[in-house]
Amino acid sequence: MTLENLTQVNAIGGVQARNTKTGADIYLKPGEILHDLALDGTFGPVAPYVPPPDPVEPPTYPDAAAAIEAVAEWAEGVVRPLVAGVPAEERLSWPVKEVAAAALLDGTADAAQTALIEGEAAVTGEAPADLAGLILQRAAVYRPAVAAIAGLRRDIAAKLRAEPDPYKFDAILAAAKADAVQLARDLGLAAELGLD
Amino acid sequence: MADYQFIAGNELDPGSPVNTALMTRLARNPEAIAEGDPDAPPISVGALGRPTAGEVRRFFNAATIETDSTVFVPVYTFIPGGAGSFRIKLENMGSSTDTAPVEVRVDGVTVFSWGNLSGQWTPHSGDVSFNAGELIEVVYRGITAGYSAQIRNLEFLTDGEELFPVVDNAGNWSLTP
Repeated sequence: MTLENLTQVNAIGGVQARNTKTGADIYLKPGEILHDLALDGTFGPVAPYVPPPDPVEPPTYPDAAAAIEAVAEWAEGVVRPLVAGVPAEERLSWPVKEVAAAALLDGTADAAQTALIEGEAAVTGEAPADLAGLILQRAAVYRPAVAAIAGLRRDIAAKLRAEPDPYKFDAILAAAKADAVQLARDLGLAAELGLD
Repeated sequence: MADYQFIAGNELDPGSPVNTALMTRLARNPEAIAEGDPDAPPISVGALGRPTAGEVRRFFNAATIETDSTVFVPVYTFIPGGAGSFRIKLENMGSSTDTAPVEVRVDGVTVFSWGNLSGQWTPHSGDVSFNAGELIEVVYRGITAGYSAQIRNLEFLTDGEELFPVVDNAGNWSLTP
């Protein structure tokens, strides 16, 4: 019988070893001759006892898909101040309204575009030109913000997909959020987004 | 059922008569012991066999058993009859990249500690020696909360001798290999 892979397996010095003849492990009990021989190095080195590792907390996100989903939710939260109180159906009209407002102000608006702006202005009592100016002002804020968020989100998602260790996702997200805050400040949107 | 009848020490002295009464008791007392006569000395756990580790299957459970516990929980615990050794084989795996340590304990002392390859079923085998009445435990756990540890194809094998539990805590022992 030859033994290999000798390891102390408990705190009292018992040794677990592979019996090369049978392929099965055996236990060498302290006080037995084989145990003494093993500790004398007869069968090679004996690895010291290492207690089982303590339980660890799971990663915040078990996989990249879950982390990417969290990024998407976070991105929605960031831009929420820009769209707060506006129904989704109305937000869908924003690109059309932006084009209509620009056309109205430069005198190239067709009948439909004019009706779109004047219809809303008639309800609020604003002058159509004032409303068009306000729409363009808001668009100037909204457009770069969503563009930056989209770029950041895709960048974070790529980094998450490339990272095999779920325990490192938190650090990626934290760094990305810090970048996002700095980007918002660079765009002059920090106050608007409630980041300062 | 045969009755157990005491044989006095002086009946075995040199020169004592070998008569029918003595011979009857000598013949019947083993039967009384085997049949559990209340006056007979009880058979101890250690008398219930001398198994030796080998490759003849005596217990097998192919089911996959799973836990998300991060403290050791039993897969199987029993006190085998007799004294000797048997071979244990099993495969273990942790979910995802987690490990799923398995330990075999004899009367509370860890004799084998097995890990597993990341995310793969990993086979193990070991020859467990035990004295009469000692408790055998196979326990396992995960390392990371929420990640499961799994065991399957649990086998106990001998060199052909019978191996059966005197105390079967799990209640799922089968003598059918």
